[in-house]
Amino acid sequence: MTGWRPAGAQGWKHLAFMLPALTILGVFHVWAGAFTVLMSFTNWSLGRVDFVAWLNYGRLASDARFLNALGVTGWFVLGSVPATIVLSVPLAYVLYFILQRTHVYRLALFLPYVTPTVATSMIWGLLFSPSPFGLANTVLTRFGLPQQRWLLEPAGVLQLLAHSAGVMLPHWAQGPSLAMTVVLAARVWQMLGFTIVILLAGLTNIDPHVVEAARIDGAKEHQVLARVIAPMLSPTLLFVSVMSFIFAIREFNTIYVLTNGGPVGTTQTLTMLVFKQVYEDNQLGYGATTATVLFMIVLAVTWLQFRYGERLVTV
Amino acid sequence: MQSGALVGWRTRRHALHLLWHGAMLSICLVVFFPFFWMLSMSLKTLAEALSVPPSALPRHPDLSNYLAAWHAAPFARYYANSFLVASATAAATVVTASLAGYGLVRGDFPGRRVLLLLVLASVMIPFEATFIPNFVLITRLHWYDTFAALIIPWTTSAFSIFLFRQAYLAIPADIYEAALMDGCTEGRIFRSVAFPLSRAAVVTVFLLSYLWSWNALLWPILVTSSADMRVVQLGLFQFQTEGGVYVNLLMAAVALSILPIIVIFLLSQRLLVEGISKGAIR
Repeated sequence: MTGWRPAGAQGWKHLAFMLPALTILGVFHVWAGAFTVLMSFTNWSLGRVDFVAWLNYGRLASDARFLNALGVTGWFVLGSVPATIVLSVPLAYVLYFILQRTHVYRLALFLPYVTPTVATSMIWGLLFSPSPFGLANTVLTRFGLPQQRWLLEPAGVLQLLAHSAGVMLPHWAQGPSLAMTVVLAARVWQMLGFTIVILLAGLTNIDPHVVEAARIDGAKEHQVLARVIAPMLSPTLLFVSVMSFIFAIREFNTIYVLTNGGPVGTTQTLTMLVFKQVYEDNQLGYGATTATVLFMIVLAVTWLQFRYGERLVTV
Repeated sequence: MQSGALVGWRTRRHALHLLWHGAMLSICLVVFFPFFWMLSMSLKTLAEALSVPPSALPRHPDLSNYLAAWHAAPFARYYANSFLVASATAAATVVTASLAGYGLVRGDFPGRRVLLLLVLASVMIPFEATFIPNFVLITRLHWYDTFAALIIPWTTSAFSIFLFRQAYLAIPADIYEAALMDGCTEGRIFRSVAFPLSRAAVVTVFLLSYLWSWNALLWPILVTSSADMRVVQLGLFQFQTEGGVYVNLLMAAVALSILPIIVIFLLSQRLLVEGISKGAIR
């Protein structure tokens, strides 16, 4: 296994084992990934194809739809990932250290993650229906509050709150649209189980003797948590953050089913935009440019994790 | 006196424990609530489903919505398509990934490291960065609107290859050596020794590939157009677009689309959860 040995007949046989998988990966992943970057320098559409150099990138930099999608992606990622992690850490802690019999709970919390997103999104769409029979609107009515348009509401949540107090917030302070907030709630609900399962796996990897030793040495519970468990869990935490970040940037199904990017583009993330540029506008080259930007963001995050992850977590 | 204090301490600890269970149970109920709402809605008449304010439970639970939803759209066809696509994708992934994992573990040909790197690199290439050229390729190959387009591009994944690699690395090298001594060919060792020993990986890879395939939406939208080629997710979406008013039928259809996945999940949840954690923690 180690060191270089000349390939005998046996060696090529092993290569043959890998051939089917390598063909698929090579064509549909590696070649396609490289070709996306190549396409981003063309005006590829249904007709002819011309090399246009950096034209698409220049156009992208001043494209209001693209800039909006960048901001919306920011809301989606920053609104869902930290919330999911903040909610799942205490849950995983309680499940693992206090209620040791965790299987039934883990099962229940994991259910939304394995359920197809198209289905769960339709249920959420019904819960937050803009009509009066929607559950969310029923609850609002019960408390004497005005009904909302939820997934059709482009106004920022903070602005909606401020509006009831008669205040008009500046544009940058209005927050994500109400529609985006509902999308975020559905997203956090779905990803919670995934994060908890990963965190539980990370907790299982912690040597219980170390925790026990700290307790015997008279460490208080909060000290054990901060000085022993937290540092040992931090690689898992970093990993799950990066994974959630990448999954969130790439999410399509939830948004497509709940809002299709609307209202007024307030839920149109980069992934949604690529889809629309390709599927609706037939601008394959321009779509590839947006896809390349998305690709570079994912690569940068992955690279940062590989490059600095180890150092960060072992401090 | 001392034992009395101990009993008191125990009951207090016990009570605290129950409190935690209660809290966790309520959280689980909240998480489960959307599913409850789906089931409740799916059993209501249309009039009751649209009534204001909505009732928590159907007054006259009626299963006929399920039958009506099933017949309102060609769901039988959608299911058959999804079963075919997901099964074929999962089975093919098990074959390609187990072979590749074996080749990676056993192989000593030059360039093995390069290949390993290639597999690693493909993990970092997201679907969004590949689907445009893949779509072009599919149309050029005249695979548009065929099962080949839905299945073939997804018949392996770096994650699955790594899962098999881990499984084969865990088998002691002596076993391979002994099999070689006995005159087994590499193909025979793989078939009779290594593959049967990697049963957990087989099941995990099959299940996860099945789930991913079953849940796919963007790719089926791109490469299929005829109603006959629709998979469940796409059919459901179409059903919502066309019959959005019939929320009770929609929720029945949603429940039906979830059912196979829930059954698979409950039957295999330990392996599935382990597989997903394993993919995350290396």
